[in-house]
This record gives sequence, C-alpha cells and structure tokens, in this order.
Amino acid sequence: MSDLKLIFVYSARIVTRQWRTFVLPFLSLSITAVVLTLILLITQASSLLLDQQSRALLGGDIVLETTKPIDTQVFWEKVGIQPTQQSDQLSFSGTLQSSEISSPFSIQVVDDSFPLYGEVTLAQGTFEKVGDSEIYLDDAGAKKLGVTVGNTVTFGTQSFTLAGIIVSEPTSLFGGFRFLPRAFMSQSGFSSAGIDPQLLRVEYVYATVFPNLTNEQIATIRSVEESYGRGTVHVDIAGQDQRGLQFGLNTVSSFLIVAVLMTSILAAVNVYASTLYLVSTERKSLAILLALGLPKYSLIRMLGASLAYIVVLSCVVGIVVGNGLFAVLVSYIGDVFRIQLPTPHLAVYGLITSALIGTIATASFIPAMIQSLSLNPKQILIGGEEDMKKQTSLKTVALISISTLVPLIIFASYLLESVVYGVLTILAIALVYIVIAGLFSYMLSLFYKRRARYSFFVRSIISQKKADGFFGIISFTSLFIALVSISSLALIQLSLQNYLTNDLAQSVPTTYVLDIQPSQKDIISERFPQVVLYANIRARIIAIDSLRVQDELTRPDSTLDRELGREFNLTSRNDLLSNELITQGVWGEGRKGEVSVDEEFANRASIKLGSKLVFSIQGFEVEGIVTSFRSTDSRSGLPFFYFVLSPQDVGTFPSVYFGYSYADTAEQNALSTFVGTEMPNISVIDTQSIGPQIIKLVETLLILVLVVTLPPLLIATLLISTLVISSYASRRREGARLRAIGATRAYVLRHYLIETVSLTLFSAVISYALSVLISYGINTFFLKLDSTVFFDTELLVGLGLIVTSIGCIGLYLFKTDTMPLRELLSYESNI
Amino acid sequence: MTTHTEHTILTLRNVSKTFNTQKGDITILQNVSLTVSAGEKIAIIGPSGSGKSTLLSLIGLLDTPTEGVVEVAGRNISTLSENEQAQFRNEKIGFIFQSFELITPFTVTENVTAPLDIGHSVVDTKEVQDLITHIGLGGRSQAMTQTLSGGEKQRVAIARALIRKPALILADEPTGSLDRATGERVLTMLLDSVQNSNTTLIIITHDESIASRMDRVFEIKDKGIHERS
Repeated sequence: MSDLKLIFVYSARIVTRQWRTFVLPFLSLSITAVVLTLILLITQASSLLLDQQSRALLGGDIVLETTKPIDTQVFWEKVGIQPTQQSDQLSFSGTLQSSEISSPFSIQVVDDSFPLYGEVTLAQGTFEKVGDSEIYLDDAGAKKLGVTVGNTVTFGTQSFTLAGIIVSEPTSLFGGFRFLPRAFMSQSGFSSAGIDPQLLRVEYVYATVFPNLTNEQIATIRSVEESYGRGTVHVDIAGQDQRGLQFGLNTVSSFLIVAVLMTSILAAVNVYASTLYLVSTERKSLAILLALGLPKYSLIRMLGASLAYIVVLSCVVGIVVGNGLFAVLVSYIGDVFRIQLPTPHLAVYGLITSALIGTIATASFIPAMIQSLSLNPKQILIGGEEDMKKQTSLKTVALISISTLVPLIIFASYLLESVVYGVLTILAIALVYIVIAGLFSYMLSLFYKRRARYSFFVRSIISQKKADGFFGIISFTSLFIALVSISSLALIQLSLQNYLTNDLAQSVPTTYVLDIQPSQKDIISERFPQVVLYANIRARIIAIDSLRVQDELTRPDSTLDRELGREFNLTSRNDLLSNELITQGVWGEGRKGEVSVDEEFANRASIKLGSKLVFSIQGFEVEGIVTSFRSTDSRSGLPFFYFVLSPQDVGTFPSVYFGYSYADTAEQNALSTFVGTEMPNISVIDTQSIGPQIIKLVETLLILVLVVTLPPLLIATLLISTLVISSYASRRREGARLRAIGATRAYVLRHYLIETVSLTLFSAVISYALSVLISYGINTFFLKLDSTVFFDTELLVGLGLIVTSIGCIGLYLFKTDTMPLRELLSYESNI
Repeated sequence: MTTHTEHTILTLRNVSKTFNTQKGDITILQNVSLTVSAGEKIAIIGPSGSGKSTLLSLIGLLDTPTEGVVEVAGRNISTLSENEQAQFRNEKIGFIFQSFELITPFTVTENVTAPLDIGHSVVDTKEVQDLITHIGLGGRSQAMTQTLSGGEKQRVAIARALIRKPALILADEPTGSLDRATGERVLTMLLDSVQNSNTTLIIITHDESIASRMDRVFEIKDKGIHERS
C-alpha cells in the first residue's frame, strides 16, 4: 500500500469505526457552516440589492431634499449638468379621513414621472400614475381608515377616490422605520385641497435621472450643496448615500458576524477537544502504529485526513442546508415585503464557506498535532521511567494558543474587513473565555482541596468534575457564555416590554398633536382646552459666551461637539412642567432675557449658570442669560426641550405648536375628525398605538440577536453532551466498583444522574443569576427603566429543558448499558 | 534444547541508560553487554524495576542508550535517524506486549497486515489468511478486536509480529494477562512459530517455567545483566 493510500485508508477506518468521537466536531462544523453560508449569502444579497437597486431605492440617480422650495434649474446650472428627467415631490404628515375615522398619514405628493426607477406594486391591478382625484394608501393606512378601493378619502375638504392599495413602492425601504402609514396623491390633487404648503412641515424632494455620473461631477455636486449653506439642501447620490437601509444592514451584518465568530470559536473548541480526546483515547493504537514503524509525520497526516473527511462532510451538509434556508428566506421576504433579494454566486460563497471551515478545523487540529508528536510508544506500551520534559509546558501552551488564534484572527479579519477589528474581536472573545474558564477552574480547585469537609456524595461529584479536566472547563465555559447572553437578552426584552405596556402606558399622554400653525393655535385651544400647547421654534446656537459656535465648527481642527451646530427646537413658557425639576439656579418664570437649559446638555456643552447664549431664529439673533438648569424625566412622555426661553423674547416669532392631551378615545376621535376636516395639516397621534409598534420593532431586533446566540448555545450543549457520553466509560466502572462494595443500582443511578447534570445545572443557575444582574444594570443605568423583570417563565423552562436533556442522555446511557457487573470489573477494558 | 546459528543478530556493548527525572538522574542500566545469535530463544528475567522493559525498549529501537552501542542485524541503531529507526523496526522487529496492544479500530486481518501496510509491502492475501488460520482464528478474520478473548487477542498479536518474518521478536510478558492454560497454549504457538521461521525470540518474563523453555536465560540485577549457566 502506498503512503498516500495508507493515509486515506487508515484515516477512513478511524472515522468510520470511531464515528462517535467525530459526531461533535461534525455537528459543530456543520452548524458553523450553515450559519456562515446563510450570513454570507444574506449580507451579499443585501449589498447586491443596494448596488443593483440603489436608484430605485433612492428614487433617482440624484435626489435633492429641502425644507423650502428651490429653483433646481439654478442648482443644475451651477453643477454644469442637466438631468434627463426630474420628478418633483412633496412629503409631509397630515390627517386623512374616511367616513368614520381620521388618522395621521405620511403623505407624498408626486408627479406623473413617479417613480423614476422601479415599480409600485398594488394589491390588485397595475400602477401607472396618480390621477387628479385619486389617492393611493398602503395596506396599514387602508386598514386604519377602514377603506377599500373605490371608497372616498378626504384631505381637508377635498375628496379623493382610493384608487389602489400599495403593497410596495421602490423607496419604502430607504427611509427606514415609519410610524405613520403612507398615502400618495398627485400634484393637482394636492393643489385642489387648497392647503397652504407653508402650514405644513414639508420636505421638498427633487428626484432626477443622470445615467452616467462621473466622479468629477459628483465632487461638483457636493461643493454646490455646501454652497447653499448648512442644512438648506441635502443631496443623496445613488450608490453613495444610503442612510437608513444601509445603516440598518450594517448593524444587522455586525450582529450576524458576531454570531458567526462566537459559533466558530465554539466549533473550534469542540473540534479541538474532540481531536485531543481522540488522540488520548486512541493513544495506544497510535503508539502501536508508531511502534510498527509508521513515521510520526504520517501519523499526523492520518489524523489530519480523519478530520478532513469530517470537514468535507460538514461543509457539504452546511452549505446545502444554508442555501436551503437562504432560499426560504428569499421567498419569505419576497412574499411579505415584496422585495426580491438577488442571489449571489452560490458556488463562490460555498467555496468561501469551505475555506473558512477548513481554517477553523486546521486551527483546532494544531494542538492535537502537537500532542501526537509527543506520543512516546515506549512509555505507552512498555512503561518505565521517562525523561523529564524540560520546562516546555508554558512554551507549548503559548504555541498552541497562538497557532489556534492566528487562523481565527484571519477568519475574523476577513468577515469584519479589518485586521485591527479582527484581532480585537478575537482577543476580546478569547479574554472573556479565559477569564470565565480561569474562574471556574480556580473555584473547582478550591472546592477540590476542601472536599474532605463534604459528604461522600458531594465529594464524588467534585472529584468527577476535577477528573473531567480541561474538557469539563471548556464545556462549562461555552455553555455559561451562551446562557448568559440569551438569558440577559430575554430579561432585558421582557423588562422593556413591561415598561412600554405597563409603566409608560400609565404616564404618557394619550394624544400628541403635531404641526399646529400659529393661526390655528387659538382655535384648537378654544375647541379643545384639554390640549396643552407648546411653541416649537427652530433655532441655531450662534454663541456661548465668547465662543462663536458656528464659526468654530467650520474650522477643520475644531474639537467642539458637532451637535452644537445643528438646529434645535426651542420653546417658551412661564411655568415648569410636572416632569421637570430645577437642579441649579432659579426658574425664570418667564422673565425676559432668561434661559433655562437641560442639565445634561449644559454639562456636555460646557454651559454654566450665568453663561450668555445667542440664538439665530429665522435670521434674527436672540440673547439670553442662563439662570437655571433643569432635569427632565423623559419617561413621562411630555415634551422635552434643551432650551426654555421667555415668551417675551420669542413670542413674536412664528412657530409651530406641539400639543399633548390625556384625552379619552371619544375626545381623541372628536379632535381627529375636527382637524381632518378643518386643519388637515395637523396630525393627531394616538400614543397607545406607538407602544406596540416600538415593542414590535424591539422584538424584531431582539429576535435577531437571540438568533445570533442560538447557534453557540446549541454547540455548547453538544459539547456538554459529548462530555457526558465520552466520560461514561470511566463512570460506569466507578459505578461498578460502588456496586461491588454494596451500593444498589438505584443508588448508582441517582449518583450518576446528579453528577451528569451537575455541570449544566451549575452553569444554568450561575448564568441566570449573572443575567439578572446584567439586565438590572442595563435597565437601570442605560435604558432607565422603572423596574426589571427578574423571572421569565419561558427562560426558566428553557434552562430546565437543557438540564433535563443532558440528564436524559445520561439516563439513556445508563439504562441501555447491559454489561454484567463481572465484566465491568474485569481486567480487560471493553469500550 | 538449543538451536545454535552462526550469525549474530543482536549485540549490546557497554550499554548504559540514565533517565533525567524530576527526582534527579536515575541510571537503570550500566555497562550491559550481550550477544544473541540468530534463531536463539532468550529469556530475560529480573525483579520489578530492574530494567527489563528499558532493555527491551533499547533493543526494539523505542529508545536510545545514554552510552554504549546497540547493534541489531548488524546495524548500529544509534546512527539511525528517527524515520530510519521506524523503518528498521517495521522490517526487522516484531513486538508482542503483555496487554496485547491491538489497534482498536481495526479487524483481526487489518491488525495482522498493519506492518505490511506501513512498510508499503504487497499483501499476499492467501499468506495472511493462512497465518490467521494457523493461529486458530480462521473464521474470525473480520472480527473487531474488542470482541476477542484475551487468548485470541494475544494470538493476533503474535501473527502481527510474525507477518513480516522479522529477524527478531520481542515479547514483554506475553502470557502475563492470560490464565495458565491459555498462556500455555499461546506460548507453545509462539515457540513453534519462531522455531519454524528461525526467528530470534527475546522474552521478558517473571515465570521461571517459561524461562526454562528458552535456549538461554539472562538475569538483570543491580543495573547489570548476567547469563545463567
């Protein structure tokens, strides 16, 4: 038999006949391959979607957004190019009415060119353009108003016919999450409604077609954008500016990559543990092969080939399942969201997955390889004295650690597209692992040294855990990390849900009223006195004492917080709100020339009591001296303003009003009906409907994160299961010895079961306790929730299931073991 | 009864072996000299810890002497590289261990042919089957070793040691794990096999009755070795 044939034949024999040893590495690598394939395909498909459909998603090649109408001809003349096509649109929020219901909507006024790219898909029929007296609603909007195609919807006094229900339109993904349902009407339809655009908080959108933009043209566009002044014109260019969706995808990608890395590290640990276990349990067989003349190098190649079979099989299974799941996901997204995700090159990503799985397996194999090199046939087969190893243990540990981490760092760097992030991420995960493993190992040693104090039962458990050795430490650490992640997330989610549905629901006003114009304020106050109104004035900070803020921010080396340069909402009133508290200084009670500042903001902006602030409001400068700092309980749902000025200083400035009310349903409906007919520019928001939407959004995000932690939990549980199965041989002998000295089978079973589940139970209890602390900390200091949920029944049931499943494996092994006591106690060991 | 051949198969000249342990240097063997001719059957006897296993591992190229020369089949093994030692072991030496030490994932046939596979030699299927039949396991050639009794396992080990017709067979307490009757059968088979093939046999044993059946008996004592008359 040639050398190569020898390697493959012998390795195949090992794999097929010692297949139990390879179950864990196979499952771990398969799960990792599934996760990797799925994530690579999802992220690539999403990137392709953004690339291929960037124009459709944006609404044009270049889209200008302004808060005031501009002459686009002038803009393009400055750039030196002209669009081949342009679509002028308006976007604002307002109230629409059906015969029974009024509801706020995000309304888009479009022209006949809309959409420039992509298609609008209707539930029924084909979209061509929005007719003069037509309106289109999305599904949520139609349900909200209780209308179907053909019904009448009014905006102000103008009636429109619902011409279709929009299932999807190209730009719907781009803007990110929207609370309000959407409506589309034509330019002429909007004009006929007779609403003055100045009453609306309008965004003017100019979408254009430029088929072949050059980099020079793009640079010119950016400089013209800047020449219009900060915040006047915002330019988005397809393929370059992809805000909400790109940010969302980047965030999702980051989470998914964390999932892959955690899963991969655990898979690497499992493969490492299994290959080491194989070398340990088969060391006599391996020593015989060496004694028979097999060179060590060939032995390593043989073990490597054994692992290679598993890697190949795992890759095949993982890639097939991963592709299958991706197909299901594409179909689901197509059906539910009407988005056709493009399919990346499956073969390419299959190869990438295989290469990365191979990297993980190689990294994990290195310690087993080193162990194989140190096999001493003389010592194993014949015994006797052995030359003392010189102080190589530390060097060996360092070599093993580095050789295992380097491929993982390469792997992480590829996924994160950065060597620095790759190194930091792997080291961070490794550090967490080492700390937890070290703590567990230390505690175990501590209990082991003091074991004489405990009962026989407890002593034997401690001794068994000590005997589990490195494998046991790794198992505990893996499971512990996975359980802490999942438990913390579950408790945080439950606390957040509880807060939104119970705590917040009690204190937040039932109704917000938006975009009340100055001319409408008195009517609203008169008709609905329960609505509390606040002026909302847009302003920029010009100066804080001697610091000219806007000038300072234009300097390239400025270290000033860039947030200070944005537009702020100011308000003016004489009284403090119930959710406000003066922490320093004295409340001005509306005295002229005084300003009250939010305390946290003041600290961030280095504003002190007595500081002079200068604001620019609609071109005019307004000054004020800071006389007080406020703290605001934002959980109350009442309006929050960084700056409160005196009505005497800003009362004459035109401002939009914001209002809130604790109105009941009837009062809310009356208000909605009134504004829907008389003042459709005003939006009446039912806050109770926002809570469920937020909960749904949070749930979706947390489901994603939970999915991220599931593969590592699965692999960790597999690791514990393998520990139970692989240690059964020694445990059954121990049980036999106990029976030989008089223990009953029932006693041995009880003893064995408790030993079996002890590691898992300990891990579950400690991880739950730590999760309670983590979730309390996050809820209290970060999310600022009123309370933390400490008991989650579903979570406890899940933990119980994991412990029980491990116990069931042990019970199965025990019950199916029919070897007679005599044989168990005989000299020959039969595994 | 002694079968005497003219050729020397094994020579030890002033061989010493010292181990560097945590307790300090320990010398197990000192100035051991020994000559064995081809075809001889040798017993090495001595108390526990006297160095029998160490001597066996030196002869079997599983270890190298601290001082002195070990020549097997005319080759000074100290001059061989690790791979050359492995090859030499494969071609010239057969091992039989007290605990049988069969390769667990392999069948009876696969265990017997392992030396041929490792040495990249052609496997004569008939010859292998004849050998397996000769050791009394003709009907169990495809059985996994875990299903064999102790005596059957040791017979497989003997067949494995003989398959390459080595110059030298080293047996470390070959009947130590067997009951008397089985041990007797195994020993008889071993002795008959080496007699027929003119293979040199060196047995480590505590058993005087086994030692008495050998051509020569050496006793290890006080780090040295001397032949019993």
